[in-house]
Amino acid sequence: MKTYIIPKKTLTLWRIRVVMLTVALLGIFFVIPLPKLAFIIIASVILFLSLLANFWYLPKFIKSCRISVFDGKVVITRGVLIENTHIMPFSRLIHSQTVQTPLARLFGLSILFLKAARFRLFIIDMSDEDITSLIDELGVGGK
Amino acid sequence: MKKVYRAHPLMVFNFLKPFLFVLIFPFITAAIRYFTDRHLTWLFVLEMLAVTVVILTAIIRCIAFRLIIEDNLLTIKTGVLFIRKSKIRISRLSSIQTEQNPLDMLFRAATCRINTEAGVTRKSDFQFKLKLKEARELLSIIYPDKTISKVRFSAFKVAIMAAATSSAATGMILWVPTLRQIANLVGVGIDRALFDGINNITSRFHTYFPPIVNIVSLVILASYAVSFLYSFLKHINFKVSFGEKKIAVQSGFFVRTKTYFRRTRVNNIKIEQTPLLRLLHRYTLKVSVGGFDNSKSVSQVVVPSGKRRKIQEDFKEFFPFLTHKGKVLKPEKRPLIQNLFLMWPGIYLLLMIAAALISAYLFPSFSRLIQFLTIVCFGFLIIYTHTCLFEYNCGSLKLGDFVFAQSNYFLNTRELYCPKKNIGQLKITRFPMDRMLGICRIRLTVCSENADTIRVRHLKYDEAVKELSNTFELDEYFNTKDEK
Repeated sequence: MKTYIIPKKTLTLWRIRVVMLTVALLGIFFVIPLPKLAFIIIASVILFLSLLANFWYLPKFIKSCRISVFDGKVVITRGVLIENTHIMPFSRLIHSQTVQTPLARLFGLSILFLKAARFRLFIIDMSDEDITSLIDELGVGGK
Repeated sequence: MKKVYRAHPLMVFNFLKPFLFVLIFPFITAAIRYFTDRHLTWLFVLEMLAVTVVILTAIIRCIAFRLIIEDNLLTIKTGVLFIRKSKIRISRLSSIQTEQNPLDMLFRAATCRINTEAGVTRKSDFQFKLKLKEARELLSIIYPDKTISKVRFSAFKVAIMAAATSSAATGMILWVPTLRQIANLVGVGIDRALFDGINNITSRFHTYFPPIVNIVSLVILASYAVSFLYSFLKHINFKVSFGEKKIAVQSGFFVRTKTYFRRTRVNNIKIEQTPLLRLLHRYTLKVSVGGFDNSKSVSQVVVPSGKRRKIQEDFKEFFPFLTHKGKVLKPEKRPLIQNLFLMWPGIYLLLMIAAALISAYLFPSFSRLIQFLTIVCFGFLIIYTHTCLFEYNCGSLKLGDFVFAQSNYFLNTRELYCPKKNIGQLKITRFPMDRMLGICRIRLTVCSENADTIRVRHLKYDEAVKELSNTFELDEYFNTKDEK
């Protein structure tokens, strides 16, 4: 059994993404002519959710992610409130796809999609080396 | 031995089909107008040129078509300027379907559809017309084994299936666009006349409920009748033939279809029961074949309506995975778990009562309509509650070399059978409440174009993990997870 762990820089990347999203949302509501009280309430909710995501949800989610490759199957467990375990035999895998955003490229991370007939599994940002190794294990070709 | 087949001349019409409503029919209308008025317009001349080009192209494409069988390889060659050559190993074929409509029968032609697992969903990979004799020869080359046994289903059984599986929504999808197209083409307000007719009929009935209820009921009943008729005519003369390796399903009245596939291409089997079939204690057997059919579904009905025990006895010889032995996982039988199954019907009941009361308070003039809608919703809720109770009593999962799962699927009940190797994905979900109670939900997805899925709820987590570990050799994974 080979187990892959999500690197710490994935947490940093997602924290940056959440902060960017928060700033963008605050900016939108700032531009929209809203009563002051409404803006304060909305901004407080957005900031609260952002803090919750950054300091509670994301660390817990990243910690809960566990990707294991066995002889012939991949098992992925993740989830904070709702825990999901996916078991996918290699033989049913058709192709793999990696997606890299410009920000993720700076960190050397990519998202991996495993595609079988009519459904797909996604694996949160992992380092490029880990992804190459995982794809080699799965035997579905290169990136 | 090399065999070359050419397209039947009727295939020209297949190429013309996309232009039927946008070019051919407007041209015919314009031609009739020209012969009556004797007035030539530029638009008519342009239409005539376009129609000539389209017809000539269709004829050339039809002549250029070739189907070649050589050394277990099927080659399909199409196109004139842009030539496409597709080569498929016969062993990789999923299914072949032949279809004959009345026009085909008149000219001794047959439409052939070739499907593989690589194809796009809702569309057959290759479709062409051959001479009937050649189509039969092609099938005998691809599926050479002789028929061992044949089962024929009576019109009554087909009618039961059609009645149980038809829906008003399907009927509406069938007749509304057709009626609109005809109305547009003929230029007569058919829809208006139909609406007046419905109004006339419904105004004769006086009930407690407002007239709109009568109108809606009549439209729904008419749509259901259309759907029933379509399904009945599609499945009548239903025959299933079994060869050593092949299965052939034949049905149809006006349009006769015959589908051939290898037994090994069957990904999974479903034994389903709609609410109406549940009342009659009958089941429908469907098989899911990779890359099958040109319609929405990739499931083929094999038994339209029959008793469960008989279906299993008849078919276990052909599909060994239809039998299951060993430990079956079931939801724990205790009041708390039963209440979990009945939680959603309870929530829906409360929501329905609240919505009815609020709308009756806000719109007192529509109280009778609200009463009618509440009664309809209540009917659906009773069926849903019964389905949830079925899930509690009969929901089960059996893992091993042959996998079996039983649960509900919307308002229907479903049994799914497949070999272990065909499982695409298994997903275990645990909500916070599930973690507290030590239970889990397992969703099983079969790897096929149809991706048939079934979810079994509230199984004991420890037992499920043990079974999964044994079936997929995951002891190491689950042990280290527990330690963590």
